[in-house]
Amino acid sequence: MGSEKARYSFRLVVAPLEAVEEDARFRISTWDNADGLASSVARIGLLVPPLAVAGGGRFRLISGFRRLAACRALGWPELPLRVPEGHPTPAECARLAIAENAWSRALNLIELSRAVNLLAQFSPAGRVDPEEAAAAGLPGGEAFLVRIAPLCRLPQAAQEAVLEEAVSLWTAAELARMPAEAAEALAGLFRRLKAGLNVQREVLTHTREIALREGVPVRELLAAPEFTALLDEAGGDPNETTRRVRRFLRRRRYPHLSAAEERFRTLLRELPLASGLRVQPPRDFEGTRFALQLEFETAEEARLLRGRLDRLLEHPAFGALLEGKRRGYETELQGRS
Amino acid sequence: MKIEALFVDSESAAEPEVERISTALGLVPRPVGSAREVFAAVQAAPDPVGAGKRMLYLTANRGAFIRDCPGTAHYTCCGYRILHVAAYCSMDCAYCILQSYFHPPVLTYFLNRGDLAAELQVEFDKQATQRFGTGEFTDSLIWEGVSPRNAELIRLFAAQDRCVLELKTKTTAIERLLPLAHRRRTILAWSLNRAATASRYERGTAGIDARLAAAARAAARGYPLAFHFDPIVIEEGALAGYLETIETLFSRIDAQQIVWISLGALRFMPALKAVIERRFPGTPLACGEFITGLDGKLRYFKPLRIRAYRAMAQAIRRRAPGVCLYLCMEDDEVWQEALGFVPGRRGGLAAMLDEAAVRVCGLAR
Repeated sequence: MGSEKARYSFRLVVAPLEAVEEDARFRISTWDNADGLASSVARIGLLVPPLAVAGGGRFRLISGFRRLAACRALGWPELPLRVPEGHPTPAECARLAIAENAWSRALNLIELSRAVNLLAQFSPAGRVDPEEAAAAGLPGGEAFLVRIAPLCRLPQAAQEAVLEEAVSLWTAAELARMPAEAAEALAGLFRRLKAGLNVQREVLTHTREIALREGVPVRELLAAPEFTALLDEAGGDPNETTRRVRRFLRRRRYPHLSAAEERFRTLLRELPLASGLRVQPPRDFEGTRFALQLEFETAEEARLLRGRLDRLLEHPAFGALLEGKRRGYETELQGRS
Repeated sequence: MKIEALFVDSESAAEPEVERISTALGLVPRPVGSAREVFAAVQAAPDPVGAGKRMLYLTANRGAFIRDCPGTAHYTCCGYRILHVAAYCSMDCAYCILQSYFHPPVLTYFLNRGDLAAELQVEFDKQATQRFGTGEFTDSLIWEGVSPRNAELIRLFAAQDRCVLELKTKTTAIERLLPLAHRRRTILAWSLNRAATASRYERGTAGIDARLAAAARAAARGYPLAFHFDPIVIEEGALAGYLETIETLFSRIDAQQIVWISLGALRFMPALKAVIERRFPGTPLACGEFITGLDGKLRYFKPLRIRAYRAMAQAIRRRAPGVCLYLCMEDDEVWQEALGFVPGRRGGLAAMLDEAAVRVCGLAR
């Protein structure tokens, strides 16, 4: 796509509607509904005529699909079109269509993806030149273009999740690397959770890794009764659903570590830990040093804590707390009420 | 993997080994002014980590040939000294840390053998027990077919009485080493795993049976042996496979010939995870129950490591009660729980290994 060749002058023609056909290859917009636009066109008129290529007495529409739909809905017998002079190649049509969309409004992620794919179709080896993309009004460098390209090939449910902003770009790109069924199932979950990027990242990573380790397809994992039950139990509250999902997945992803954490907390509850006194285990039980934290404001409070600390150190569960770490507290709770 | 391109540093192009290596590989060496040209060729590939395994760069080691093992403060290191004779590996293990250790990774072979010999002589002259090995940044035997380097090292070590050389491998390329007069100053060591783990994650390596058969041949020629169960991959039902490998090991190898056996669970820097996922899609290797260790590496949750080590140690001790058994990069808590003692009580891990080398290899005290 040379820059000199791509400079056009346009003529305005009024074409009968039956002479206009859509060239779906160039459709970028994700909006299908033209009702609102039809009502605007009816009241104000068609401000910007769609873009079409002329040939053999007919016109191939390359941009303005919703405008055409609005005119059809209004029963117009004809509509104005902007037609580039000469015979633009498909590559040039692609650039015109993208530029017309991208410079007139902010494209959503799926539209950007469609635009990138449209450019790629007519680029050498399918590789989009970032400068070419920028000239057509697309944002980002090469890494962004590569990342966004597969999004428009996501299953429909996942694309809808992207359009609803229920999944971030990072998540969408990860979904695009997964089998369609898995992407669809995860997209459905994210639409329910309405969570931020960090939670999406955690949920997706845990789900994918559990599925890989256990040899269970993601879709099956998310359709399992124990998983769907916890979604139902959350009662439609996205925060509660997210909390339950995260807990479920973490337990399944790190079963031994999670069990050790729970046993540790149980042991901790047996200890006479009053307010102001806290026991902290080594992170993930990997190191060997526990931390004991005393919080006080006055000397009297500190003296009180000293007494509590003495009682804590003498409590049998305290020794078990220190000793049981290396076994993940597997035996420490046995035989206790 | 087959070497497809051979580069040689222009300044080293006249080294006699260049012709020998190029003839053996059937490749014409392409002279380059600097390593950057090689790195550029590697990085231009869609999979640079894989491409680096098919390109060999012959050059001089302009740094030190002898380095200390990069252990960390929180975990006990064996104090082994690295002979940096080459870098990277032509085999393709999914868990290999070298995939993310070098930037970019490229097969490198150092030609300045005279400098290596001189550095070693300085160490030999210290008259102290020391353990050296070439298996830290590469597999020790991948160049056996094209270079006499190992034979030369074996001869150098055979001419002194205080130090041992450990050649660590996943290959069976020992044919040319068997007849050498090693004087038990060279330990031939094999990485071992459970058979299913090896076939799943150790692409291009010799099978476990073949490794053990090679070890038996080396033992028959008087070579002291070592075995490294490292990395131990903790997966559902894997322990039984490791115990099976231990049984096979002792059914083929006389325990008296073994200098040491190490156990080390899979651990890796977080950056490797993305490399594994990209290069080995669908592998569950990085989906174990990993936590972040005190050295920043991902490690299995401690009780899982302890459980695996303890079971394997029991099996090894049942068959070889006197063998020096150690853990690679673990803390005292794991040592105590898994092996029943901490290295400090026996003078430290380095001293334990030195002692084993003296005892089995007949080093002078």
